[in-house]
Amino acid sequence: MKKQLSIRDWQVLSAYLDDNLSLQEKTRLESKLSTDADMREALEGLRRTRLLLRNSPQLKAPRNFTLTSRMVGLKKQDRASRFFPLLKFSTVVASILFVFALLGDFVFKQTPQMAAIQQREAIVTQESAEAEFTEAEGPAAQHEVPMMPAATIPPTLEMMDAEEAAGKEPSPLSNAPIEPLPSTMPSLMKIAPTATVVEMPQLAAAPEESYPLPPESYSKDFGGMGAGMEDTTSDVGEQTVEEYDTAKENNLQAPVYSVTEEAEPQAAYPKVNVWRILEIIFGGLIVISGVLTFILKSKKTS
Amino acid sequence: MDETSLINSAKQGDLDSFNRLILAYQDLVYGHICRMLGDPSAAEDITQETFIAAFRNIRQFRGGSFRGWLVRIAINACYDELRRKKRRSTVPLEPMTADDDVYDDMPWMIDPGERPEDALQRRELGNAIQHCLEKLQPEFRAVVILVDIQGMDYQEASYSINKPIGTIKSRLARARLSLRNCLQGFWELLPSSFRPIEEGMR
Repeated sequence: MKKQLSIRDWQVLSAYLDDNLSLQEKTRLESKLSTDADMREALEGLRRTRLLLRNSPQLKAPRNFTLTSRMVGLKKQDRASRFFPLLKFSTVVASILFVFALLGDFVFKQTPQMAAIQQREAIVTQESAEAEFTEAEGPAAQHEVPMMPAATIPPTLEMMDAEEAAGKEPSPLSNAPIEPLPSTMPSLMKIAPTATVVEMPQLAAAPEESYPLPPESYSKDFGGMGAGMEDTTSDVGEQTVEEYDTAKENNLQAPVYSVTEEAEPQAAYPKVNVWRILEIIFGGLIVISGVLTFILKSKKTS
Repeated sequence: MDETSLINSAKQGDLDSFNRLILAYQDLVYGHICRMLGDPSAAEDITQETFIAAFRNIRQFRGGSFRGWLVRIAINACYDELRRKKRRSTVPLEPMTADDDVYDDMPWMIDPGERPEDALQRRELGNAIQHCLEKLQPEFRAVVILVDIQGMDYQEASYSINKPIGTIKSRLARARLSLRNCLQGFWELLPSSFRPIEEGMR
């Protein structure tokens, strides 16, 4: 009667065939095989099976399985297509900047009119502030810091026109007597208020011609400034010159001029439209980078 | 160029180097897959998928047996395919023609140098082995193909199926026992040298 071998026995026999037993296990199995015929038969059966498998035909690949770039999703990038993301990004950025430039142009186009209004408001605010300051300081302070700018504050053209149109008396500011400025406070003379005020007619009347004139043109009178102005402006200029002369006679420094110089950048409105230039630059960038991006993209897809 | 250099180049994305490795191992991989699936046309597809997956993941190869690593990918692909097949309808063991007839010749079994009777015997032997292999569970089948057909040692087989050597020993013993029992039904097809001793006594 045949003995049934355990799985463990089969494992040992299988490993013995492959010479994968320790020396001790091997010795034990060999002694067992010498006495057990069933074990020998089982071993022989396994040996033949293994031999059969090892002699079974080796299958050959029916074709080559070499890969192509397309199979593995490799894309050969040419040099130009490396710039594709950069071009795409620059197109977007240029578009955004172009929009900002357009907005800027739209907003700052209205500046001359708006500036005139704003400056008018600034004058009023400043005057009231100075008045408050003077009141707070008392008579002594009034003497020390007189309302000097009052004499030099020419009303804006619009203001004057409006007053004339209304048949009103000219603003007391425009006819205000020039009070002598104390020489004790020369530094105060250079305070900005007057400067802003001087620029006013210019801005209101002719923003395009409003480039600051060289300082020497201010030294004597407002003729230089008023040259490009209308008649009304020159009236204002004459008035201011008289006041200036009066002030000069009183041995005062003419704060208007020095201050005017300081105020130049504030009053300047660029003749060359920067926004327009920016629009052109960004627009050009959009076109160039957009076209290049489109070309590269169509190359990629093809 | 040696294998290590080719592998390193392939890791850098050099497809030509990887294709050289494919040429070196395609018979092994295809043979293993075909034995596992028993379907040459499916084996072709899975072999191609195996090499594609191998190229895409070659950076994960950390040295050791490249053959074992490739076979591991192939075995996993086979398991997936077998699971897919199990979910779908059954597939005949023999390739079928368009008229649902069984092919008389298995193309991969033909050896032009063989005599017709040898070819017949070989084909029958091959069919018998394949039949018995397919009766095994895929896990057992994989081990017996690796060790007894591909000639790997336990260590490499362990690496290929990612299991400890003890598991390899155990699975191999069971697989051999099952095959021994299965092949007993085909003794008359086998060459006399493969027949058991006691057959003559029957």
